[in-house]
Amino acid sequence: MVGSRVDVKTPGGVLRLVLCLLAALAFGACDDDDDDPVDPVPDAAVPETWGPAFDPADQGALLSVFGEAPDDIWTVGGQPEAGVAWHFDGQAWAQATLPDGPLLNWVHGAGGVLWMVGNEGRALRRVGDGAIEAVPTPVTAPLWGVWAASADEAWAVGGEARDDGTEADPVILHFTGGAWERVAIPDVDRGFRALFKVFGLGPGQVYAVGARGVALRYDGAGWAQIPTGTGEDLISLWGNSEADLAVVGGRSNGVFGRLADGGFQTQVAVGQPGFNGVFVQADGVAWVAANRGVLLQVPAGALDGTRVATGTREVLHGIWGTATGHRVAVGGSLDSSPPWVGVALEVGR
Amino acid sequence: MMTVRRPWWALALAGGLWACDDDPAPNEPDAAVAEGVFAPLGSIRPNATAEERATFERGQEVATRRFEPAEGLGPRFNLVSCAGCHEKPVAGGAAAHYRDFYIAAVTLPDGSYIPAQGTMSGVLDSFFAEGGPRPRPEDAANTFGLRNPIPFFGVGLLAELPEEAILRYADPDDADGDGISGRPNYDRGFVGRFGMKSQTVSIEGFIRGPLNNHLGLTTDPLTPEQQARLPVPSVAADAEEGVLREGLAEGPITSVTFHQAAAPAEPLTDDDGVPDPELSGEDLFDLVAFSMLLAAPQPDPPTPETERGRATFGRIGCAACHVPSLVGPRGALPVYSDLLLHDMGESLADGIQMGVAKGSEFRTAPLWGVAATAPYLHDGRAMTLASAIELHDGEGKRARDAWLALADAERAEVLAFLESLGGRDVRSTGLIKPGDAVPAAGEMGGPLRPLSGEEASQWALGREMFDRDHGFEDGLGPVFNGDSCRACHFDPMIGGAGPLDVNVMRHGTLTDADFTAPARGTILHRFSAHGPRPEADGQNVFEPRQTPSTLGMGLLDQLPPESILANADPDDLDGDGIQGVAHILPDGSLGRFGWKAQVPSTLEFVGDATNAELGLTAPEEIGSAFSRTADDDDHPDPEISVAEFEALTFFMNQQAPPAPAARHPDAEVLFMTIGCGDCHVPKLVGLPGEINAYTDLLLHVVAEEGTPGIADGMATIHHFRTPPLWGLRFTAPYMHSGTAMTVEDAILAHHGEGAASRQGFLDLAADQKAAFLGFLGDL
Repeated sequence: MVGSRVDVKTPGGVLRLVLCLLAALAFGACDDDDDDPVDPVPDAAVPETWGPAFDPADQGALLSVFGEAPDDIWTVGGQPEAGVAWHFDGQAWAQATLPDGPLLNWVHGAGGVLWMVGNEGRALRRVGDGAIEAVPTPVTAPLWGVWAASADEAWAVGGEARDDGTEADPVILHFTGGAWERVAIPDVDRGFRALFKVFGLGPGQVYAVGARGVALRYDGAGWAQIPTGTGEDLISLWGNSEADLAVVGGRSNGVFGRLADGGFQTQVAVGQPGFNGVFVQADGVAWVAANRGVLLQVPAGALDGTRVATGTREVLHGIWGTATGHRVAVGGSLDSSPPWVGVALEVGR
Repeated sequence: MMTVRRPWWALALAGGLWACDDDPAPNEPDAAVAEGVFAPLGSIRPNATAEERATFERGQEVATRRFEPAEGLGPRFNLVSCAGCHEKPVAGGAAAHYRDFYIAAVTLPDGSYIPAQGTMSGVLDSFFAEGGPRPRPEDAANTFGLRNPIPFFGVGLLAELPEEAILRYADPDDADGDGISGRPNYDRGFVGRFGMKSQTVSIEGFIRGPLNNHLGLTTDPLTPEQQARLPVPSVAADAEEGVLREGLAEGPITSVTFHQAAAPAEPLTDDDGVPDPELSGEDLFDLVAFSMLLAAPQPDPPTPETERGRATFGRIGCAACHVPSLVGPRGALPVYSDLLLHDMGESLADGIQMGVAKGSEFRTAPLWGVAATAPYLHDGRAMTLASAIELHDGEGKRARDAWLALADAERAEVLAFLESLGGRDVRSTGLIKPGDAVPAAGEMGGPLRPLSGEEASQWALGREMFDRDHGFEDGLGPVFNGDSCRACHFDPMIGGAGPLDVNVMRHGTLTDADFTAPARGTILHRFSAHGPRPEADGQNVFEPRQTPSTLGMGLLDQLPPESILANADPDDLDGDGIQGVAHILPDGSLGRFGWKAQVPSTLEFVGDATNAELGLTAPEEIGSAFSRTADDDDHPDPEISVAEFEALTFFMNQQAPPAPAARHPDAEVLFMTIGCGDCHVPKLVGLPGEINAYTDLLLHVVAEEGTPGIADGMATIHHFRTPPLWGLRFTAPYMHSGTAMTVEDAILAHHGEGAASRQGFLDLAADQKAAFLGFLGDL
């Protein structure tokens, strides 16, 4: 069994303790030794017993989770009018202090600089262990995704998510150390209103995906559309290399795809609800966070996956993991009207 | 032990109907037919509780409620009520072609299928609440599908079906080699069951979507507490264990609760200025519950003929897709559908994709109640059951060919069987049901005078013709707005006016003050019998036209020209600021009907409307200058017979006018004092005597200066005929564009020659205004 820690001083710790006790009754084992080292385990051995990481309660839904290190993990979200962030320091989750502002949609960082983006063109930055500060952007549209290439360079994307039949401009922003600047959207073969996520394999190989199956690639000089074979919304993407870069989406039925032949090869995941978030392990196994509490594990190279029990019916929106096997999935009651209730699950801590 | 009395159809379905050896898709012979769920179309399930009955009545009110822009209708819409599309033969049913709608998409070379911009999730709307040009899809749209509304009867029972009840008939790879595949569609990960492509799993979703796409009404999702109270279990929590309800068979309803809870997730919003949600949670709950409680169509008693037809239906392969029953928690449901997707071949394919359904795949249509829900197939191209069978292609081709090989008597038996599946007793060629009472002579909706003999027969034929839904097979099109006269004229009854959602769009090009009509005419039709909807081609002025009432038009038709011309004063010689231009048509006749007084007689009105609005050609011997004798659709011309045309004209001429509800002589004095009566002349002298239509049938400038519009003959863009005011209370919305929802709004919309009277109204004291509006309301 994976070494785990339970911090009874936090709500999440209490829940974990209860789960461990229940698990002990069932399986006769519950490791509750805070001093145990975290044993690195191969990805393939990650157990599939997910439990609460902490209780976001009425602070709102959580949309994204990311860390630069196992003891520096962030998750963001909130209510439409108030964004929140939580931090895991390797021991426990705690709510971070943020400047006032609306919902935060995504988090990513590199080189010790963490970016959070959200509604109304909101961008927050945290440098090292410093305070989190607002950084102006030239847009008021929601920013749905951010990816940092380095401490000095980041991309953010956004736009109006709801397709009401009218035109609206998608957003690409580029930060190169000074200020966020808006970048022109390249010609695409369809009308679309928003880009939802951006992710790169390097500063000269960045991808953005969005509404109506649009995918763009940045080659270091400019953005251009790449084929996807779908008109479904593409919500998120992640990868370690071209070989395992995965894209997910679909509002009603899930869509999963991988990079192939200069574009994304996608297919509808029959029988699965819409996919929201994806994380790809070093071995190429993809984890997909989906609606209705569905969590999918997709083998390396495959397009189909199998469900993993999560114990929640809430929307799972973001997922991320460490090389040591600690996986965190977040979401909330995003399929209901606000105020939202959040959920944070984890395994393998 | 409780004794259960089962109705005859339960015994028949459980026993004899399923015992046929010819049935290639045998159902579970042991499954008892569900009880307490069958009733006449549009009725509530007999086993409903008192609380459910109260909810049903409230929901029925919501379903038939007409929404206005101020209540959230729009900003774009196809309909003003749910029942607009679900009216045939009763609320909750289907509709004729005039309620068809288009889906528009872009299909790209890489296979991407994208709902077209300019649509609402692919649904192409016909109107903007604020007027102006109608919504149109992006120019890149290259995939169009025409959809005819589908009935809701028994949908709550289909919602209860466990997924395995549907999946057991799936054979996506045709493993059994019978040429029939069948695969499920999925919605949010659940097996879909509603919609032409089985693209939706939850009734809440099946209602919230169209409310938004077709009416422009925003809603919030039902709360978990509301979902828990719905007649069909719809609770997400503890779904794996299922939720048992009184009246349901014992045993877990696996997955039912959760798949019904999987409705569209997000609150819907729009920017029409009306606070969201525009339909309250309570109303949405009642509407969803109403739909869930609609009974399954009650089948007719089996007869030897229908039994032979049922056997043939199975033998020739129809039942391979139209499986006789699906088994739900209440028992077997004789829905005659597997709810699966089947490839229906190129001749039916339209390229529209939904979920996993490709462009040629469609859900097997349930056949219960099919007798009363024509037209058939996804785009309504079949007006009869026989035609629908013969238009089957793809996986249905083998059964179709077998049908074609049947003897006439065998086909008749199959049709008799299909018609026995419910709804036959209320079937008609339109919306007038068999046995519906006709108002007495002189009453609104009845004949103008007592008729007998041949006249009565002709009036009845004309009334049936006015109400009759036409299909492509009858010559409807090639372009059209309605498929019957009643399609536009039904408020408050056949022959009356029409609501916003049957407005006709006129268009043209305005260069400075010069108006140019398009070569194909100023009507921008809503439908094409074949291919995409007609769209404007560079025109820059668009004007919706409200449907005026035709009640009493025969009296106006009989007015001698001089009684109309007597009020004309085109040069305002009397200096009262009111002109009044008689619309003299090119042939010298006097126009008197239409918003521009562009039509001279009832006969020509019939010729014009059947031609311009329905695309029906008329016999040459009628001599109508406003009709066409030939068009380029596939139907032989003429598409209306002489007898039908003459009967229609006779009916319209012999419609009784609206009668006043009360007299308000004092208010009428006000009406005259402030000048309204200068145009809305209270009395014209006709053949039978005085006619109190409150019109002069002349053209007046009433549009605001600078407003673009449509010119027609002598009528300039700002000229409109004075509309009759009799029966005003029944004919909202008002003004030529239908933008005035109340009489007061209409008064305030008067400009030009009507400006002085509008000011006169504004200057009235409050009690005078009330009396004035009361007078108008009782005309």
